[in-house]
Amino acid sequence: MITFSNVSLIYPNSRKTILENLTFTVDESELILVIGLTGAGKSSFMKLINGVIPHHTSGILSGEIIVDGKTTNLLKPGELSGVIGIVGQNPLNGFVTNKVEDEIAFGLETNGFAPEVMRKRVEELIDLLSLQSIRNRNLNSLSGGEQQRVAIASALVMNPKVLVLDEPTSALDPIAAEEVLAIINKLVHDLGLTVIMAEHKLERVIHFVDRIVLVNGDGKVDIGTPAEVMSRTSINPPIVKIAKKLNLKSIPLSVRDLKRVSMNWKFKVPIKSEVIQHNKQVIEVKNLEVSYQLVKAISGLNLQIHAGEIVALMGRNGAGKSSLLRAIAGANNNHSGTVKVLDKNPALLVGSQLVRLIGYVPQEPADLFYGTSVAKECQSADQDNQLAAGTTQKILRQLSTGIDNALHPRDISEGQKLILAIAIVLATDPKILILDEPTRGLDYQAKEVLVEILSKLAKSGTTIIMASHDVELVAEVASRVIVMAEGELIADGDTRSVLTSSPAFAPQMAKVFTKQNWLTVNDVISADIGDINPDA
Amino acid sequence: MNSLTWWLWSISLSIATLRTNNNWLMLLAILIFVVVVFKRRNLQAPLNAFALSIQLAVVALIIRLFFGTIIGTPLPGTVLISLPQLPMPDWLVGIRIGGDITSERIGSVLTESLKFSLILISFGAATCLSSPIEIIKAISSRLYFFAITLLIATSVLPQIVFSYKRVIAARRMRGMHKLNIFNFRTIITPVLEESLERAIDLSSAMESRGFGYHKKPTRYRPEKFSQSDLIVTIICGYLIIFIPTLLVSNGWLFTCCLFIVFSAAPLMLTEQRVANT
Repeated sequence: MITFSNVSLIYPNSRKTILENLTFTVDESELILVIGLTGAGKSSFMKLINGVIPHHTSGILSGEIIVDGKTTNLLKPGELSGVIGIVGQNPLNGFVTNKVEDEIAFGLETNGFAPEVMRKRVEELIDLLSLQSIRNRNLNSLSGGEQQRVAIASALVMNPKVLVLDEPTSALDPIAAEEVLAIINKLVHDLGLTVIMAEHKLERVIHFVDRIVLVNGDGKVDIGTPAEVMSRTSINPPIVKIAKKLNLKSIPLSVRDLKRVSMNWKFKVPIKSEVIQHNKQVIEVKNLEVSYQLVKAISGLNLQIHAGEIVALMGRNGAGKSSLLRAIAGANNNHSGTVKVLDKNPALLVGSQLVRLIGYVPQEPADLFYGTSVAKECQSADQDNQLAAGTTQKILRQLSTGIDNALHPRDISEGQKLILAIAIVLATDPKILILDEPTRGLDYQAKEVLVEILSKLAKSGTTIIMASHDVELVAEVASRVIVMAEGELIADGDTRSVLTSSPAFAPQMAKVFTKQNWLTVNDVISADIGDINPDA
Repeated sequence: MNSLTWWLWSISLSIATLRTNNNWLMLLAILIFVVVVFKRRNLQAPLNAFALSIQLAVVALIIRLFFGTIIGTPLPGTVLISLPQLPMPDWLVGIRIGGDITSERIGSVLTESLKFSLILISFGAATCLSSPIEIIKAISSRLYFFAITLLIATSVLPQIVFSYKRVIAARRMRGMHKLNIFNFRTIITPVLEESLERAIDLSSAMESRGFGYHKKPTRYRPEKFSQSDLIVTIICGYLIIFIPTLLVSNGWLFTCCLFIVFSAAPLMLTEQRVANT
């Protein structure tokens, strides 16, 4: 279906080759997963398939890519619209109209299909993706999973042979992500569609893909079955990690695989759950109500948070997590009830009083940036906060050494942006650090760095509150989990008890070892598993 | 009603009123715009657009009134106040700053400013009443680049407002709470960068769905040109042509009544739009 022959790609003014002499073929109705660290060239690889490179961006391309008998070098992306359907990371960014039905019909309209054909196709797609109940809704009013389903429908309406999805679940909560992935699985199996998908959260997808393309970033690409590629790379989901640590012969890809292998394992030491007592109360929220126009985002919420805790806020998109974080940071003026941070009302604080108390990393870390280079960004952070020159830069280097000072803050990878934002915020040494969905678009490496930073900070007494959809990260780092729904707290407790009691939020290890209450790979390793048969 | 008819109605209502040169009729027209927008606005269009146009109109009115009375050519008539006049060089005869302020002067400035405000408000109303996407689709086959620019602008503009609010909040958390000319850059840079990225995203999404590659795009559910559209179009033509002469020949009360009845025709001919929930 897709043939790459001797494809090389390099960007002008860059010495790094993205792809070098790549030759491979994607068969019909294959499901290919594209992985790699952020910035390695996953997106470039995806853009090659529908000809956005070289037609829209300035990549220098040699070799040839043929999709369904058409050469992308010669045809513009628009001319391939009947062959390839594209679904982006953030569905809202690609929507042209405001209504579900109109959005699905848009591709047909521009391509001049007859009204009767359109009617039939739109109806088919509405059935295929179960959009009947929302067909007349405004696109802005849909949940993230519904939006992504509409985006898939509007890509499929042209009857393409290939569907390309660039991190389709990165903006979604775990439940919505499962919903979208289930649809993709169905499309491959029922319609025989060829699907190319990039995705960071491997634990969600590797068990149902046919092959993995690992883009290394140095020009080399590793292609093979999931088990092959997983055994060769260090980008591993928890299940593969544990298999490697225990030297298992066959690499399990799903919870089911590992569960069957581990049935007869004997565990010597049951894990002792160490609950550290946090006594000093730093944040107190009483009867908090937040509403936007007529919609209530938070209703009557009470909460106490203590010094040194790492609190993870979980729940669907729109459950009120961000509203709560903003209220704690004093950024909402539309709330009633009391919010006290170290006995002060954060909404009344300004300037240095505020930043010395609360550090806030927004959902888009780039909102904080306005400098023209990383170095200048650090300098202006020092000036803004009246700190000694070099303070921010020093913290940045402690957090990560790999960030190029000369680059523009918008040009560094997602993970590096987050670290830069954290460095700017930490420069004033705040007592409380708030992060709003810090893991969007982060790869495993960046997440590990984040876990390390947060654990260190918590040990030194900083209180951390973060909203996150990433159960594995929460399992690694949080000491307490709060689950929100419809603006209310529906679960609040230590990480272990909350995560293991909910099927939607359970990390992989908890799903495998249901009796032991383990959350992370380290839990399992440190439990000293007795004699296991590695050949099993 | 068809989106194009709404635009036609807004524009011709303002043209008809402008032709009368009458302050009261202009105020009446603004009132009609406000009522119709609140009764019949497109629930998918941002109401902010209308609120913004009213704010702009008020600001423009005040600024014009102020400068128009202080600076400009003097108009003889009843002197209300006499301000000290700045001496001007000989070659600038006819221009004065300060001096006598006559009621005729204020009257003429007021009319001029009201005209400007009315035009602003009529555009704001048309934006709220019609669906921008329908308008763009109507012109997309003819003027591709114009259409794509408009389409991107209409979908990125609300985004700019949204990201502006976000950046303001983020900025406060960087310890900056005062806004002035020197640090305005700290807001404008991230907002513009984000909207640029979004515009590029959207244009490539549209391209990959084949926008602009087919000579004759078709319509999935075209807005019909109904009987009420026809009636409103005829009424609009009548208003533009006859209102000024009516005012002269038939006097105040009759003109006002006719004006209200005719210009509020869309209210009677269309139904309240139902909110999608």
